[in-house]
Amino acid sequence: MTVLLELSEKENLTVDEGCSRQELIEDLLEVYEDDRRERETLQNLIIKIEQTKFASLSTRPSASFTQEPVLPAFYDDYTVDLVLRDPSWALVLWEVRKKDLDTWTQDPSFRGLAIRVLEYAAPDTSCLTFFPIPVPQGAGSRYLHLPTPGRWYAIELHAQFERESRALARSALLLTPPELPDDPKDRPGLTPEQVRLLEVSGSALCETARERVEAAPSAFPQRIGTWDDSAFQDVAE
Amino acid sequence: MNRIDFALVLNAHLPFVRHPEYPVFLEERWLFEALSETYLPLLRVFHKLEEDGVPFRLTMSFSPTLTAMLTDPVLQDRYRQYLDLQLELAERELVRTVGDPSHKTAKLYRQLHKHNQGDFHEVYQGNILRGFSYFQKKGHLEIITSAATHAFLPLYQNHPETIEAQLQIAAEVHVRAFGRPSKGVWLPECAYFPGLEKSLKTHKFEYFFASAHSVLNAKDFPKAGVFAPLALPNGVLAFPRDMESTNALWSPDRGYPSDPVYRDFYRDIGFDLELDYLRPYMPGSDDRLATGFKYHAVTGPTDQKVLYDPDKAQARVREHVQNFLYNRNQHAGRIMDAGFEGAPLVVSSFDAELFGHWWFEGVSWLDAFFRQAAQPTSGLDLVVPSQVMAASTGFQETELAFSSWATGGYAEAWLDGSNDWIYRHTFKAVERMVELVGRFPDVQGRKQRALNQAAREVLLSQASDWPLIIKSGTTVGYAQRRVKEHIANFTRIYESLSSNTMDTEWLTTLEKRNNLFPDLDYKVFQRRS
Repeated sequence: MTVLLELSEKENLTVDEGCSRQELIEDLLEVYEDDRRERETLQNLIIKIEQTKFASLSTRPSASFTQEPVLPAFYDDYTVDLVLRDPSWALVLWEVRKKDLDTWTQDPSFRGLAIRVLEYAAPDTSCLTFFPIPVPQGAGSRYLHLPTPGRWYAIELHAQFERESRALARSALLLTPPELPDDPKDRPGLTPEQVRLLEVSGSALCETARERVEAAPSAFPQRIGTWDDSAFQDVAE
Repeated sequence: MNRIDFALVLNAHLPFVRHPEYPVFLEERWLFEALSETYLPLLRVFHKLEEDGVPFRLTMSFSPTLTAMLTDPVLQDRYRQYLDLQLELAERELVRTVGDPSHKTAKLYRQLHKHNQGDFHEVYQGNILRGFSYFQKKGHLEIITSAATHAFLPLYQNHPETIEAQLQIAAEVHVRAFGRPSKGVWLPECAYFPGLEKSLKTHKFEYFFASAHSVLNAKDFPKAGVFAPLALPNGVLAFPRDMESTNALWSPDRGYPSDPVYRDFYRDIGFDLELDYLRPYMPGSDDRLATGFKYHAVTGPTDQKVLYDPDKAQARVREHVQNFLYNRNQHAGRIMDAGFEGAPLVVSSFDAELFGHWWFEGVSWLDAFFRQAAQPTSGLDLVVPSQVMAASTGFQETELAFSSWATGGYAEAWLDGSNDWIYRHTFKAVERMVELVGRFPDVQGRKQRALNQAAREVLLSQASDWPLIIKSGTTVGYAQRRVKEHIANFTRIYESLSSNTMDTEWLTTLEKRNNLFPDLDYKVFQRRS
């Protein structure tokens, strides 16, 4: 609970008195989801340049290419996959066998499915901590905020019953990047010389820092984004 | 004057698009446009530089899918037809624009397509890789490969069979295409994850290119900033991108390509002229599309574009090369002032198709750049990674974190709400492919053919282009269909092998359509974990 309260404070989340652990987790997840959506609205320079390769055909597919195969929503198996999107967000994909799920739903002690997020300091060590997230029946994916940078995570898929929790599948371990500043110059403990070296290395322009200068939408069709190039030096008159 | 070692890197890649089942297929134009506007003009520049004794040097990566398409007879024939139509349209444009200020530009297009036709037919006999191989042999080019179908590798890190298959096939295709092993690899989207270097080393790749932020945020402080490669614990080298030189060309607002006098990419006669006039040059399309004939300049923040003046644009190219070199020298001074000792290495990497296709004058810029850089006063020594590796030892050893070169720095573009549905299917396909290799460890004949084709379909479904197109909103329908088709094809093979009911006719048709990597051995998907 202490960790959750710390995370809530970090996210400027107002916590009501008597708020339960589950409510707090849900509120935090909502905040993280909003943050994720906001990040997705940013303009992306690489994408915009790469998409010019495919620009001549506007947005419609070839008229002659009409038959679209239908893929199954699920493969009727027990699986759970964890896919890292950025240092703190990951996609979890899971599924269960329909026959078993149908049986469980007839069982009054069945409480639903949950994914359990397990955190490790290193592979082949004991789990440091875990937290469960209930998942709606019929769902098969969700984005997940991984709370601690530089840690290993695995996901277990569980069927929860009144008196037990059955592990159905487990993902492989995944390492999240260590806590990194968007601008490498913000790395703690740097000497002035090191800061100067990072500056001339373009730390203010690097990929993680670009987010803030590309955030504004493009106003003109011939532009592929917006840019603050004050760091560039022009030829002297 | 402070000197810098300058490594220019061009990444040439297109997804595998080949539809012999249709007489004309619009998406094949992606390749034809890149051939006409980037690859062939680039080869002409290389030849002119060689004739003039200019000691140019750069690195180019050719993805295995692009390599497969450039050597494919069906696509080569279709490109010939495309060239014929482009040349015919260019001739009509010459007539249409007589007495008009845009006539000069029309002449330029006729010259471009005439040259392309001559070079493609006579110089390269349809296979332009011969041209690039020639410059590799001459020491001007270091050619490297990329992952087999350009998969975004970190997303598959928990499916190690994919990583191994993507890299092993890349290494094999490269040797067959260019006659020598690829010393380095262009990781698709510069996307790296910890541990990838083990697979790189397994397949004898000695280096790759890394995003700037991954190097600047390396586990240990990078003592040389982005101006020297870093050695990963197993000795594989990561060459960092230099953002300042890269952004001089890629900056969307003040980068050179957005200069008002340069040709505008979007305004095209395909959207301006009578459809009846254009229809013969848009086979397979009931709708308008870009023709490549564009007569307007970027102009500025307005829809009222002025006409393009090729002479003004060429003059600006020369100015921009001067400006680029000046800024590199200024940068070198600042690097030295920051306490750097020796010659800093500046790696400037771009998508090859930026030059010529998107930035029409980009190829001319490269020509002028190489000529100016060859001058002793330029302050630049052009290098390729293998030279850097041979000349130096004792690179700082450290570890890098998960990273890519996209804005944000990670996998945001390839994994979001619009495209994340892909991965359930591609992961399942990998799992099933591994299962098939276990069940059929050494088969021959029709089963072997089926398994090899199954492996091709799995790989094709993994191309990073499909999620990127879906995310960016261009030809979304095509990208979605491609993923679904490859997964459906794979699944049909999987189920047929399980029930021992393979439809040979269907398999043969599929083999002819998705025919890349003819020497692929399905056992590349053997279990790795």
